[in-house]
Amino acid sequence: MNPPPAVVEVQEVSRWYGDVVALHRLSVAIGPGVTGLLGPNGAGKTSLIRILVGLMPADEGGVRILGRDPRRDVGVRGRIGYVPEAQALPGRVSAHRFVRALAIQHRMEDPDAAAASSLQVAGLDPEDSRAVHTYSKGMRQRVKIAAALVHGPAVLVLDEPLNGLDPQGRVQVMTLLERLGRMGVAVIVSSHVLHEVQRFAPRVLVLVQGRLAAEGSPRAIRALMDDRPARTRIRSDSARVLGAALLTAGAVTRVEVADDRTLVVDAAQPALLRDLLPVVARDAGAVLTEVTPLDEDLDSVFTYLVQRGLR
Amino acid sequence: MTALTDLLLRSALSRGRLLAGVAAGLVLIGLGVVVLLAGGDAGDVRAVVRDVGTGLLVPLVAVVVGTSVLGDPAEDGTIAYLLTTPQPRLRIALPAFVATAVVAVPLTAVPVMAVLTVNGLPPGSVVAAGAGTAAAACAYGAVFLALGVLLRRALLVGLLYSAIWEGIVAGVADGLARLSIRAHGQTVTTWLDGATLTAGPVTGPTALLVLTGLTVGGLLATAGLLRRHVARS
Repeated sequence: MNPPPAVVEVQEVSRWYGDVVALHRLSVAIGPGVTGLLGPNGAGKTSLIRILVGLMPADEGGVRILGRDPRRDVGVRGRIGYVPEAQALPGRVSAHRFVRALAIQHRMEDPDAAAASSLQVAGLDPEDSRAVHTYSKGMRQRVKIAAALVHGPAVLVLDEPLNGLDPQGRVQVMTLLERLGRMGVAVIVSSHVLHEVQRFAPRVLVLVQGRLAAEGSPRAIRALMDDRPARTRIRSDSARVLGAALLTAGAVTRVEVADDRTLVVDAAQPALLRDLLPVVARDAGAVLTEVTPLDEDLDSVFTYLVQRGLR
Repeated sequence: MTALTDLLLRSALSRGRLLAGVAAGLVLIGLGVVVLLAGGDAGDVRAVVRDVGTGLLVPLVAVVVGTSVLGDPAEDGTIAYLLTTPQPRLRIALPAFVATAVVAVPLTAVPVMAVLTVNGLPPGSVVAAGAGTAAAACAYGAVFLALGVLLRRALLVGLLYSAIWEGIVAGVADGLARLSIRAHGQTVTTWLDGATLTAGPVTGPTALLVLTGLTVGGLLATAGLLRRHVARS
């Protein structure tokens, strides 16, 4: 089967702010379906997104959306829906009035119906006459999504759309994005939380320091993360005995005894440690009371990935 | 009024801004009443309108409204919703200008006309002053609209421009007054009134042409700046 045609093409795109490089010769092609754009803060996700929707020029390289340049060709912006990260919305208007005004700007034949429909799809009441500034953060996020959907875009770009949503809202938005992806819309969702993205994005791009550090299925990205060395804190009633046993078993490369009940261990293969720890502890007669990964934060994971990619 | 004008108007026109604009107009009317009670003549009334009305109220209201209509959305990022639509940028700049004018013209022309009416000036003079004020408000509004897209601190820059250039420098010599919106607005008023109480730096029709040119130029500049606008962080 042929791969789906690229709807979004990013070719050797660089962008910098003074001496700070936001994007460095980034090339990627994105087709229909949901694509997660993952990376820590400052990775260049928002810069890439702004370039994709035409709100910012690339300093080098270029972007094509449906074969057209979104910065120069205003017409193609009618095929793009954009949910910015910023929470601000025109405050002293109702959600319907705001979305309807955008529907008119998008030259929709029936802007009232389009606005009502997209608000409903986003989980809001089109009849709600309250001003948007009275809305909760989660409801504002839904207004932003409704605004991006009102013209039925072929490409939907969302910058951290799950921020501010309650768990139920997150599920609803994820389900919506998944459905749009199945309908053939190219949905690009930025996030810094892999476990969220992996629930609805079959493909993930990992951006670190403006470079593409990894791309593939969430499962493949997760596997890459599991392969990296990791530091773990283990609490047990027999910390010293357990530490020695773990070293002997080859599950860890370094053991630091913090106190009588606490170990900090380095594992070259965290997956191996995960498998061996219960067995080694049982054999050593040690009772485990806590196992905590100490560098599971995404920054360290992503940094590892990019360093690995650069080697 | 288009939906976009309505949206921009509602966003820019907070209750505080509206009340401040109305209060400034009431101050002007109050001064007009003081002139009346003090037995001032038509020349005194025109001086109040010239110095406080065209000289202060018009640029003040225009800078606050003009810089906020697109400046606020540019600052808080909501301008992205407009710029990611397929409309030519002039189709965004024009409704924004209408939103500016819809607020700035009544908030300035009405108090000016009220002062002249209260003091018993003929209807022709009242209408002339209203028209001259409106023309100046539109020119200021269009220039400040562009400034709002161009600069982060457009309000401050606009206020400094109004105070220093329009208020002080342009009054130093006739040559400099040719570069002053205020002076052209006053010339249009005088010309339409058929009076020669204040000799402007240029003829009435030329002043009107200059104000029209500034309005159109401000509008085109706004559209151009929107085309080249880069999202602020």
